[in-house]
Amino acid sequence: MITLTHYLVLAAVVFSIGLAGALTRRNTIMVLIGIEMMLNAANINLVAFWRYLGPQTNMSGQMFAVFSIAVAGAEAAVGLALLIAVYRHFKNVSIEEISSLKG
Amino acid sequence: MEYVFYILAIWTVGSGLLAVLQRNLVHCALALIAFFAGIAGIFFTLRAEFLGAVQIIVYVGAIAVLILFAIMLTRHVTGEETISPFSGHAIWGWLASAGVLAMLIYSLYDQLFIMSGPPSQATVLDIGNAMMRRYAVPFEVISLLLTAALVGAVVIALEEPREKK
Repeated sequence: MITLTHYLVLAAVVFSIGLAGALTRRNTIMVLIGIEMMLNAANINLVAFWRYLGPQTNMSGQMFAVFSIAVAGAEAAVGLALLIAVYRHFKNVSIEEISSLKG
Repeated sequence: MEYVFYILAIWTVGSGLLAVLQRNLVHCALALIAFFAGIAGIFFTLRAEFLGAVQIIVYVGAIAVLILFAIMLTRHVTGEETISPFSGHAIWGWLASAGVLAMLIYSLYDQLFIMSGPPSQATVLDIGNAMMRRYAVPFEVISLLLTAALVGAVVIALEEPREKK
């Protein structure tokens, strides 16, 4: 029997992997990938709570996940556009090389 | 039906680890596609078929391609990275995420979730009704946000105008 706890543990593991990726990698693209993984872990939690604890007629959990996916899509598009602009300016996307606010 | 969850969980965690650990950025992006597909499978096991389809369309279809394009535009097509994810002070990042994982697991320990009834089910009809009635205003707001993000991404990524000499 798969319970809610199984899904929550899976989401916790996925979140930690994403956090490790965002913290340890030097490349900005990898940081964005880590953030996407963390957002996915949160979506698993939303849907799992909707499935196991939500009232029958309430769609809030799935709606939250749908909106979260839309916001994550917008975030990815803007983030990668920023990354391309930064690359054009610094000719580099390593987070250690991009250290000056004034170009 | 139980082993489906375990297979998908191992698939998701394994491909997620691959996506984080590999040195070659293109390989990372490919592992990330597998990870997104695993998450879609998890949604299917939760009987959220609509979300699983959305996950495949948005993440596997759009965001993965966007990331691959960003890798191609900012590095050589091969995407080789010289620095290993295990070098230097990366250990602190691993320690921090291990701490977060321990904290999350500890908060789940001995936690009993009482189900109030049978698991929720939803058809696409229910989702459409909710989206167009109760959640109509957030729906409009999110469409505005997506339009703003579209325009903003284009403006940010536009080539800087050459300075007049």
